[in-house]
Amino acid sequence: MDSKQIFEALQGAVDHEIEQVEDSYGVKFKVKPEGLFDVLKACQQNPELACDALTNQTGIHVDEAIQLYYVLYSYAHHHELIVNCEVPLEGGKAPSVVELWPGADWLERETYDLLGVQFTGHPDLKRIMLPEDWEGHPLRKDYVFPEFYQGIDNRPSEITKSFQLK
Amino acid sequence: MGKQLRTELMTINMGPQHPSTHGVIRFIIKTDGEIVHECEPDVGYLHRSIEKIGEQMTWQGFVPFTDRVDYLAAMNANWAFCLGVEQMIGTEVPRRAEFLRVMVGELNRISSHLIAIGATAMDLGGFTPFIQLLREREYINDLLELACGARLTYNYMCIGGVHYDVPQNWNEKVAEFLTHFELAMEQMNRLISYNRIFINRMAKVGTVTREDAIGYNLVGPNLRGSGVQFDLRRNHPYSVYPELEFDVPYGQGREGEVGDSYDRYYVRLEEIRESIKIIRQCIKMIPEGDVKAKVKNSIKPPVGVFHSKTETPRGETGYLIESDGKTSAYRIKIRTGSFTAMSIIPKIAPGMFIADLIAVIGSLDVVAPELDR
Repeated sequence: MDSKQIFEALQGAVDHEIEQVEDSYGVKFKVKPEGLFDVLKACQQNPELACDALTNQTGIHVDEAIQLYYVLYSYAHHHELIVNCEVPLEGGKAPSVVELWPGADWLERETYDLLGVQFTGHPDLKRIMLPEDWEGHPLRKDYVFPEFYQGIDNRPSEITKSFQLK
Repeated sequence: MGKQLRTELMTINMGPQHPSTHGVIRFIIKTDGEIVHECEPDVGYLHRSIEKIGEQMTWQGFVPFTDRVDYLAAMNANWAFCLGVEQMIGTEVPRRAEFLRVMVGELNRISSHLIAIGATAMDLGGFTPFIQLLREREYINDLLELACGARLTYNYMCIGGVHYDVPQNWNEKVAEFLTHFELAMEQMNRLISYNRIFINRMAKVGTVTREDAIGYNLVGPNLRGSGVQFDLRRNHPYSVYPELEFDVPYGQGREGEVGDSYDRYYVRLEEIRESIKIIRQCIKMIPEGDVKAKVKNSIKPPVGVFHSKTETPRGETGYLIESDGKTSAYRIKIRTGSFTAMSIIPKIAPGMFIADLIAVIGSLDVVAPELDR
């Protein structure tokens, strides 16, 4: 299926507003956070789309928002589609899709850990990569590296500084 | 008579420095005697923030970091990123470079699977296969060293091709190695693959059904072990794979159940055979010519989000790259096979013996640096 057919099938399956965003590398389907769960559910359960795998899930901090990306793949039809959803930076909330794809569990935990997006309905949302008492979410663009963590000096040495991009 | 002993669950800690957890991974296990009730992997000990580093590096400068994402298959890890960027900027890679990439990639796939197989055997108590397979891996390291000068983290591929051409008699040396290696594989098969003790430890242990494998998004040999005949090299071919002939092995329940540990093990074994077949064809087909396309020094891919994927030894490696049209990436997300393979352990571990859990971790072929990035 090409992206146009996918878009039509998606529009027929849900009554939420779906926007087609095209950049240099193809079409992404942009939805609002309140429609996200229904759209992803339709992607999985609509027989024409049948996206049985959530291949990738992440967020990107752009300006004052976090763009969530869901890369879905269908082993039945061999097509891939990317769903995009914008949540605000502070207090951003998105529905969890663990009940659709159990593999989303760790992906969402990673997005929460590194970007600070809350997933409502997630069974066990806690940090996965960083220690539980870590402050801040490092993959945000405005993240400031802590100088100390529990008494450990984290400041870059002179040698490290000489390699860093100005 | 009829007196019931009440037993309590005991929480034990396995790792992070445990030889059978394949790197620095910690498991928190609740057990009733020898039976696992609950198993929770605690990961992140090797988190080196490679994704954040990628935002500060130039596109070419990030390639050596991808070596460290998966050090057992650094060629394929390089390839995954380079292919993504090439597709973004629309570079055509010279034909000789494509063949070289396939050859070193498949050699690296063999060496990675050798570690996977050997480590599984070692976890189950057989130390000899591991040493034997490491010996074979040394020959592959020698061949790759001839090609690029490094033995573990190669940094051989670059955006637009490969850094250097191989020495003159490299192809003959590879062919010579393959002849020797096939015999060595037979020896190894007699030692473990068809060994009843080994089979009984692996068969019907840690079965992952087809639905679970797809739902948890297992990839590569773990997915194929559960009976899904899917390989990116065949279903979404890149490079020169469409011209090459090879089969896609998948789990068929050889020793009882589809998707058990032995099936995953056996898929890896067969993939080694397929890789040998691919390299033999490449030796015949490789043309003369350039090995590097002309790529500008400052790469500036168009603005947008791109998802590229390649088949590495541990399955599909997906790079979700956002470019803002500058000389470094705006955001790189690396999605690796080990990450999802690890996330299925809480699901399949309950009801298992602790010793079987070791077999399952081995058969899922989890590599900690790839898991944590």
